[in-house]
This record gives sequence, C-alpha cells and structure tokens, in this order.
Amino acid sequence: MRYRGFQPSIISEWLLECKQDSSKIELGAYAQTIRNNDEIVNTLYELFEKYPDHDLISPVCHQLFEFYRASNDELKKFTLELVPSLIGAYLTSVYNRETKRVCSIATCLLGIYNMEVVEKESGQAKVRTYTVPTVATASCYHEPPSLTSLVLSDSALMNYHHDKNITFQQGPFEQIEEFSAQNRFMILTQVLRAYNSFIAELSLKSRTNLCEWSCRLLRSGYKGTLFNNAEAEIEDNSPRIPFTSEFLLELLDGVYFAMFNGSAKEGKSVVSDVYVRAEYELLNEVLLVTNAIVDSLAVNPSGQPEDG
Amino acid sequence: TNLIPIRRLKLIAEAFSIKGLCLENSNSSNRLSKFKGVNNQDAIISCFERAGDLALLLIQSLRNKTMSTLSTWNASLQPEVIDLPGIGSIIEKSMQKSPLAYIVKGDLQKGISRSREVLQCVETASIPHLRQTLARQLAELLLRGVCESTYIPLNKNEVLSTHRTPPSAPSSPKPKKYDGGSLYVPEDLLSEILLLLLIADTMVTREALVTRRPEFREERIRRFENATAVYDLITIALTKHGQFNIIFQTFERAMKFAFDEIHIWRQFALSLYAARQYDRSLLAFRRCHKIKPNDYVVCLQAAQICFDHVRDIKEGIEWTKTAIKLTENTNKCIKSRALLALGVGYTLMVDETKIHSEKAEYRKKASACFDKAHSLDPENYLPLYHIALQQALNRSVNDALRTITLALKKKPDHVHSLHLLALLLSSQQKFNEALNVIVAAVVDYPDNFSLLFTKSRLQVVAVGFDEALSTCLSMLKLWKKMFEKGLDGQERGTGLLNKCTADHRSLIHTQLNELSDRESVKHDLTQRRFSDPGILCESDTDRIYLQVPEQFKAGSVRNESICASKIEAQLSDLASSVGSKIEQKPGPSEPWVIQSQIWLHLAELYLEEGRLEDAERCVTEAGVINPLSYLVAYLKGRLAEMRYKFREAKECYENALSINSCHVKTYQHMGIIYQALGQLRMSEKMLRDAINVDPTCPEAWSLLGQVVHDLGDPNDAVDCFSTAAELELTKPVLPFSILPKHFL
Repeated sequence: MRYRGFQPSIISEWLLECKQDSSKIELGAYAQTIRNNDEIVNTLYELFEKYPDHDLISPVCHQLFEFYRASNDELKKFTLELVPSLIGAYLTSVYNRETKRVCSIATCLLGIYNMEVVEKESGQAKVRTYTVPTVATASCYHEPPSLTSLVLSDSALMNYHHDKNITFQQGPFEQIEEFSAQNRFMILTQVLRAYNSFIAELSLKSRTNLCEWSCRLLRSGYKGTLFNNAEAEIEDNSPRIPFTSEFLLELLDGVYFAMFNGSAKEGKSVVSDVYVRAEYELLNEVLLVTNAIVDSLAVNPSGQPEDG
Repeated sequence: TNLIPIRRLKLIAEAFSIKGLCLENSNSSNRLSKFKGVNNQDAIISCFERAGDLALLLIQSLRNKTMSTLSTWNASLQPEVIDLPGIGSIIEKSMQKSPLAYIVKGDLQKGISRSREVLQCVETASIPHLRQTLARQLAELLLRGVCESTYIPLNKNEVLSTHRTPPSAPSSPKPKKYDGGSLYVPEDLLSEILLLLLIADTMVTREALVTRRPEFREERIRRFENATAVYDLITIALTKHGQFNIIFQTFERAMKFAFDEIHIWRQFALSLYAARQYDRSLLAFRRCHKIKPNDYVVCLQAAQICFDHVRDIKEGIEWTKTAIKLTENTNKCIKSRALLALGVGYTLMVDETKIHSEKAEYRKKASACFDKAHSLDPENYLPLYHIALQQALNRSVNDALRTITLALKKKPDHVHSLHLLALLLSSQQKFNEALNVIVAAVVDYPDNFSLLFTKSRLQVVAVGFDEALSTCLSMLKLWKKMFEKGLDGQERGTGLLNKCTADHRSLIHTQLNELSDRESVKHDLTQRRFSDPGILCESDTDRIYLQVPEQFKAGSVRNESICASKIEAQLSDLASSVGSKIEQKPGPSEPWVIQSQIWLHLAELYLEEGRLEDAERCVTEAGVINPLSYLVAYLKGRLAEMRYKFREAKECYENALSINSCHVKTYQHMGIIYQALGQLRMSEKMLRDAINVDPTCPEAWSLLGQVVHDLGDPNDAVDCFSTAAELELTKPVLPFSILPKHFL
C-alpha cells in the first residue's frame, strides 16, 4: 500500500461504522475484519504517535475501551494491539505536563487495568498463584535419583533442601479511580501484563510498535547525554521518564518475546537502551535480566533471534 | 519390544537419522521449489521421529539388559558406574533436531509436543547431555514462542494414566514413559518452564569441569556455556516474579563454574542484592571489582550498599572515588551520578562524626560535589534536591526555597522535594501554605507515612489538635489496609489498632483507656516475649509475605535521628527491605516499625495536650510492638517527667541514650531532669551534648542559656539565648534531617 499521508477521515468513518453496527453485526467476524484492515490500524498507530492532541483521540480511546470490555476475544485483541501506543502517548503527555490531552487515554488505560485485576465471573479481586517446582520429587519429565549423584555434595544436598514446590502469589490489586504519581507505573505494569499474556496472538506490527515506542520513551530527555548519538550534544528538552523496575521488567518480558518473533533488530535496541538506563539508575533487578539476555545472545548454543 | 534384536534397532534408527539429516541438507541447499520443500519437511520430521522413538527403545532395552545382569545391591549402590554403550552422535543429533524440524515448518505447537514426548520417556544414564539440551530447548521454545493465552498445558490424565494407548500403529513400538499417579505435572506456563530449567540446571551443574588443564579447555568452555545458558534462562523467567531467592541459590550452585567469570559473579551479586542479602552481595561485588576493575557500575553498586544498607560510609566513599576515576571518559550524566554519590557519602559522614570542624569540612566537600554534579547534568533534579537539603540544614531558608523550586521544575512529583518544600515553608512560619503543599503531595502519594506524619504535625500548628488526631486515625487505617493481609497470622501489640479503627468516633472524643481494659494489656505483656528480636528471627513460623508498592521502599520510615546506633541501623536495614512479592526475614520488619511510630507520634501529640493517660496507652502499645525502640524509652521518660518522677524519667532517658546516643531530644530532657535535681554541671553537659549533635536546636540553646545563667555566667547565657532566638525564626515543624539522602 502506498503511503498517502495521515488521513483522519479513515478513523472517523471507522468510528461511525462501529457506532452503527455494534449491536447488529456478528462481533467475531467484524473483529476479524478490522484487525486485518491495515488501513485503519496503521492510521491509528500514526494518530497516537504523531497527533496525540488530535480531536479524534478521545472518541478513539472510548471506542477501544468499548471493544476491550465487549467480552469478545478478537475485539479485545484489537485494543491490545494498540496498548503500546496508548502507554507511549500517555507517558509522553504526562511528563510534558499536558494534563488536558491525556485525560481520555488515561481513562482507557485505567479501564483496562480495572478489568484486568478482577475475575470476570465473580468480580472478586484476581489473585494469581505460581509454582516453582522442585526437582527433588518425580515429575513427568524426570525421576529424582537419576539426577543427583549419590555422592554427598553441597549441591546434591541443596537440591533436597527444597523438597516441596514453592508457591507464590501475585495480587490482589485494588480497583483504582485515578492515576497518581504513586500508582502510575503500577497501573501501566498491569496493563502491559495483559498485553504480554496475549502477545503471541498479536500482530508483528504491534510488537514492533512496542519496541519502537520503548526506545523513544527510554531515550527521552537523555539524547546527546546518556545516549551518545551521532548528532551528540544536541539540546534535549523532552522530559525524562522515571521508569520503575517492575515496569521495565514487564517491558523486557514483552520485548524478549518480540525479539524472537520477527522484531529481532528492534528488540535488541530496546534491550540495549534499557541496559543503559538501568546502569545509570542502578536498577539492579533490571540489570539482572538485561545481563542475562545480552549474555545468552552472545554465547547462545541454540539459536539467535534472527533465526526465528 | 524384546522381539527386535538390539543391534537391528540401532541400525534402523541410524538409518532413519541419516536419511533425515540428508533430506534436511538437500532442503537447505535447494530452496527453489517451495512446494517440494514443504513435502520434504514432512519427510524429515517423520524420519527424525522414527529414529528418535527407536533410539529411546534401544536405550531402554539396553538398560534393562544391563540391569538384569547386575545384582540388585550393586546396581542400587552405583548405577552410574554401569557403562552403557552410547547411542552415537548421529542419532543424538537427529533426536535433538526433530522438534526443531516442526519449528522450521512453522508448527510450534507440534514441536512442543514432540519435545514433551521425548522428555517424558524414561531416561537413562547414557544420554544425559541430550536430555539436558532437549530440556533447555523446550524451555526456550516455551519462553520465546508461547504466551499465557496460547499455552496448552500437558494433559494430566493422559500423562498419569498407567495404561496408555499409543496413538500410532502397533507395528511401531513406543518407548516407555514416566507414569504413575504421584508424578508432578506442571499446569501453567511458568511452572513448566521452570521445571525444565531446574532439571537442566541440576544436570549442567553436576557435569561442571573444574580442571584448568589446557587439554580440557575447549570442553570446559563448552560446558560452561551450556550452564550459563540455563542460568540466564532461569534469571529471565524468574526475575519478573521477584523470586530472587531461587535465582541466587542457582548461582550459589554455579559457583564451581565461577572462577574469574565476571558474568556469573555479577549475576550472583545482583541476585543477592535483589534478595536483600546485602552483606553477601557486597562481598560478591568486591569480587566483581577484582575481576573487572574498570567497571564503574560495580563501584557505584557497592557504594549504594555501603551507604543505604551496610552503613559503612567510609568504604562507600572509597567506592565512589574509584567510580569517579573510572567515569572520566564517559558521558556527563554518568559523571554527574558518580559525583552525586560522593556528595551523598560526605553528607552521611557528617552524621558519623561528632567533631564540629570535621562536620563542617564534610559539608563543604559535599556541597562542592553537588554543585559540580548539577553543572554536569543540569536537567537532573536530584543534585538540586541535595543542594536544597544542605541549604536547609544550614538554615539558609531562602536559598533552599529557590533551589527546591528549581528541582520541582525538573521533576514536579518528586516526593522528597515536595516534602522539603513544605518543611521550608513551615520554617518561615507559613504553616497554611506548607499544609497545602503537603495535602497536595498526599494526593499524589496517599500511602506515604512520612508525609502523613508531617501533615499531622502541621495541622497542630495550622488548624488544630482535632485535625491532627484525625490524620493519625487515618494513618492507623492506612496501616491496616496496607499491611494487615500481608501479615496474616502475625500479631503484635494488644489490638488497640483494631479498636481505634473500628470506633466510629474521632480520636478526640475517645479515651483510649476505655477501648481496652488494662488487665488484658498486662496479660499480653507478660505472655509475649518480644524483648529479643533475635528470638523472633529464628522462628520459622513467622514468615511474612508482603505486598507493598514499590515507591514505599524508601523514605517512609523515618529515623528521627540519623546517626542511629547499631541497633537502629539494623532496624532500618530491615525497614528498607520491604518490597513487593518477596519473602521476608521475620523480625521487627518495617510494617511494625511504622505502626509503633504512629503510636509514638500520637503519644507525643497527647503529651502536648496534657492527656497523659492516653499518651501512656500509646507508648505502651508502641513498646509491645517494638520494644527496642529508643523513642519508646524516650517517651516513657517524658511521661515520668510530666508526673514529676524524675529518677524514673532519668532511667528511661539513660535507656534511650544507650540505644541511640545521638537523640537530641533525650539529651535535652536529661538536661531538664538534672536541672530539676539541682545538678547544674551535669545539666550543662547534657545540653552541650545535645547542641553538639544538632547545633540548630533552639530549645537546647535556650535551656543551656538558663543553666549557664544559674551557674553564674550571664554573658554566655545571653549568647545562648540570642542563638536560640535566631534559630527559632527558622525552625521547621519537623527537623530537615528526616529527609532521606540517596543518590538514586
């Protein structure tokens, strides 16, 4: 498709279509069509990236949230595809102190968060339980005696030290009515979590978009100083965004996936940008992961991201 | 399966392997016909699969045969000594490739199922390397190709049923799989990944090659790389979930690989840090520095631990100095950060020393660092905050206000800058404006106790005692909301918290003593032995799981005095160790410190209102929760003093000073007691000690003036009074020193 410049009319037509049809048409089929409609999707990406104070932002955010809660997975995925754009546009605006334009995006993100932290059926706060299995008891993949040598060594003993599965929980998270400096990144982390839990079903374009937005946000305010560009020493007056470790870890999770599924180059540059920020701010938990990713790419015995 | 002779099995398996490999080879050299390529891929897959199945059968029958020839006791003693003939590298290769062949075809799910199938087959000692590779490979597939919504767990019933019907034709016999009812079968994505990685981990760690002899070099490196690949994957999978204990234990096991391996040491140090084992983490960082002396990040990390956790300020300063040297050729931001760290080190040294001239020297050095850090990176708010804090501590209030406004322009929602702004306004007696700032900050940080303490203090002077009390009540409610669930099963105190928060009246109308009968309090006090937190640390039942938002980690618990004694340092060490999702060491953990501080704050308010009974009740509650706090001892002394029991008061103050020898207010009241007892020289000594610790305390100066006057030195007395009067003009509602000093 040849690029014809930003065309807001595409979006307004689409919005009109949604309004008219939402009750009648078969949701699933409709969702499929719009997810595959490059024209609409690309224009939406462009809207959030280049025209964050456009009048259309507000109705678009409203429509996206309507899709998200429509209890149809395809529609939900359509909204999820745009989550990187939503988060990116939100953060840029908040830290530029443009509180007015951010309102509708924030509402949409909050809506997604509030839906994500409760169980759909019961309305109870969601609590996820995870298990770290132990190798000391037999599983469908191994039997313990063949693993540990019978020589009494430290490591053999340590394996038996934890002879029970360790479980840990995440949540419950409370419902939130408004963004504050305290909860901002906690909310965004959960929204990104929702994105990551569907990431394999989302489009390559969306994952690449995630990577591109991330680089932009990570470098904002640090160009020419922390990030040595070719055009070094330019004045960068864009705001610095103070990410939290939790958010960056969730981000790396998504980027790691993207890296091995078609966005190798973009993913790698996010990792290296996160690395720079984490070293600068001594985010030790984040460094743990970036070190691991960088190292496993350097000496990986099985496959590079480019291999697919 | 016994019908097919072993030798023929091996031959057929090898034949299939070679055919598969050949087809694959021709496929990659001949990419022209796309359609044919797809067909080829199917052929490759089927060759690899049949080879694999046959190979597993081969291994199992070999094993059976060998086992039956050995006597049972012998086999159970040393099963590894049995030297099974390997299956050969060709078959191994084809087995490893068979899941990947599906991936090439684009069918991830089939690839995963094939991997799972092979791994479920009963293993033998002869293919540990292959199994380890396959386990890691499957974990990688799951980690890199599957997300929660697309994950299909293993079918538990199918795995666990003993009578499995092989899906394929009976003519191709299938190898035996693990079965039985008690097997663990992972049910979600993370646990399957972890199970595979932990299995791979035990295998790679076991086969570590420690020898350094040159002829083993290649093999050693190969094994090392295999092992780090597994460790890296474990780190990637677990860090997001905050399971740092498991990560650092993995690296602990990996130590036999670690000789001069910077990557392993660095990851070990980082995971220890994240698991809050600061002492060990510092040791590991020191090792990293030895291996790679030119890495400034390591130096700053070590400095951070020294400043914030281990409280070895001198070592921290050495680290930052090394970091500054190493950052000379880096960019300005990083240089600025290193200088900032050195500055923070100097300000912390101010509190470490008691000699006045040294303090001034450190202050000067610190300011120079902060100024330079600011000029290198003017966009960073943090140097500005520290400059403002120094100015505030020197009582250059107007300068400080100007600087902090600048800092807030760079980062409008920096909580400590907002807090400092409020305190500065209060020191100009603009209490209402200060209160407005604090109220606005509380909107943005509703869970920050430090802000709430200041809010309540400001309310006393700006609006009234009632409002201050209602803030206290809301703090108690907030505590309940934030911590009660996380601490379930753990109870401290006498339950006054519940009674207060359940009561619908505001605190002003409530007599705290009404809420609890004294008998139960006494009973509790004798029943619970909280006198020694060391005992608590050892009990295993006291494990606490906490869920606290991240911004809570720093700066919520306040040390009224900064140069706290060893015990308080330990307390604050634990205090700063609260994070999300992480298993805690039991002991006087942060939530309890906070609750006791709320009670103590309340007690002070009551004391000032003259409601001694209520104050006493609060102090008792705080003492039950956190008996080692010097503030509890101090407030007990205050109560006794108000009741004219001077001997008792003196004893309490002595206790407080023995825990924390830098508490200004205790010295101050010691002075009052000695004065009342007529021991003027002792009184003077105590007040001079107080001033030595904090020369900006007007109360101590004015008391000293009285005592010096009584001792017959009117000139000195006048000096003291005028200093007091001067300081009174710039006195904030709470000392500036409650604000934290971090370089991050």
